[in-house]
Amino acid sequence: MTNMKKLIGSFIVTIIAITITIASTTSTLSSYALADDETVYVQAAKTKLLSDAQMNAGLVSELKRGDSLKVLKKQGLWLQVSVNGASDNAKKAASLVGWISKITVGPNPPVGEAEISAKLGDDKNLTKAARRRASSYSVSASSRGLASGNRQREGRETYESDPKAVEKMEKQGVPEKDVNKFKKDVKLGE
Amino acid sequence: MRKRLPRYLLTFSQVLSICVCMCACSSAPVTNGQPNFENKQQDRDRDKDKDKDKDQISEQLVQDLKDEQDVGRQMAAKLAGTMGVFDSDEKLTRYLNLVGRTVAERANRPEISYHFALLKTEDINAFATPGGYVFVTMGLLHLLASESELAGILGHEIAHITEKHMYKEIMPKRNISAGETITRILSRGRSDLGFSIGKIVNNGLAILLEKGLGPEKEQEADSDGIMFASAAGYEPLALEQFLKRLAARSTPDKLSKTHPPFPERLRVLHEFILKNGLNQVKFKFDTVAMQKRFTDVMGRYHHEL
Repeated sequence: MTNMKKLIGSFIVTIIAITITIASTTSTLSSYALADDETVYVQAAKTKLLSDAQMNAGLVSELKRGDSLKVLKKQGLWLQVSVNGASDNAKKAASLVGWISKITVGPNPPVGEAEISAKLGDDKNLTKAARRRASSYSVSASSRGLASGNRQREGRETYESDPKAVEKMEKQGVPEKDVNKFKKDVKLGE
Repeated sequence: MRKRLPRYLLTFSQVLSICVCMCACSSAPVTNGQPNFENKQQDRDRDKDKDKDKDQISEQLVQDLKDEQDVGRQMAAKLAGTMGVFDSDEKLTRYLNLVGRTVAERANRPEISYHFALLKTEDINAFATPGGYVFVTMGLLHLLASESELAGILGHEIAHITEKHMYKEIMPKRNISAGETITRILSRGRSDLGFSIGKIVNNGLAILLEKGLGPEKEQEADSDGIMFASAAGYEPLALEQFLKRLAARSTPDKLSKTHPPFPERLRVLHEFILKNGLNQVKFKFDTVAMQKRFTDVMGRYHHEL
């Protein structure tokens, strides 16, 4: 009889323990599910929120760089999103649902060249900083008799280097206002 | 004499305490969806941590960008050194940069500063190096029939940069070794990649000019590229038209060495176009004005296929 009591007791204890454990696990899982809500940010200068996962679908709204979006569904190249807001434009579109190409968004708020330059402090600009570092590499390489042209002629280097050509390439960039005029001249992307 | 508790009650109390502890651990910090005072403090601490993380992310982002640009810049210098840059027509270089910037605006890496140039070679090809350097060969330029075709090609190259195809391929996939750390310290921050940068750059050049990135990455660059060009307002089918004309050429070119065979490449691209409705997109630009400015700049370089 005592053994029977013990058995029933252990059984009840086990059931209670399992129930409490399941309840706690479920609450943990549901909090993970909430945390799993993915937010993405528009990185492209402009992009379209479309009514379907197709480039020819109807326009729901136009989005701008920095707009925050909650991901509802993923389908190949496309994300179904609802607009969280950020820019004045996104506030107008807030809570609208539509599809956006995933190659125009990223997981973090966009960081432009201006923010990078601010971060670099004295270097002012990433390209200028790269130029300065490259120059320090070539000075140190030359001091060790390792100039690219010499190495190439001696058969130690497969490809000859022309850093001045790249410097010129970097200086030939066009300002944003010229790009905007270039688009406007032929009504591109309007 | 005290009466001993039954053993099963003891077991019950022990299991119950364990379960209570488990619940307490798993349900923090929110009680019925409303944070209490202690939880508010925890939230504040977490926000502080998030801000710290954000700062660390941007520090990391800047360091990654520096590394990416150092490698890409040196690769670009070697491409320029090996083939020579065609820079005697400023109008042409400016036009290339304007089309390139228009397409790049629609891509997902605003932190990159893009630069476009022409290479003095009759080989038909285009190249992208990490950090935003894009090259089109004069051989390819001769065969272009429209600004939309150029936009499609530049879109393809920009996609290689945004997807970090080359960078991921050539950068060492391991934690920084003690040796590299010492190199970084000795170089006082100038050399973030240590002395291995030369090897990395040469490996990248070998992939660009000889081995290729592989069919998967080229096809991804085709599809991303036409999405960027199409989002910028260009004709979405222009890249496909250009590749079809190139495929119809009787003479083999160096592009075939580093890119997938044309029939397979065109099949995958066409499937992508149909699946994403790109064949139905109505472009709205002024076709006459666009063709006029294209001919004004590129007309003298155009060769019929």
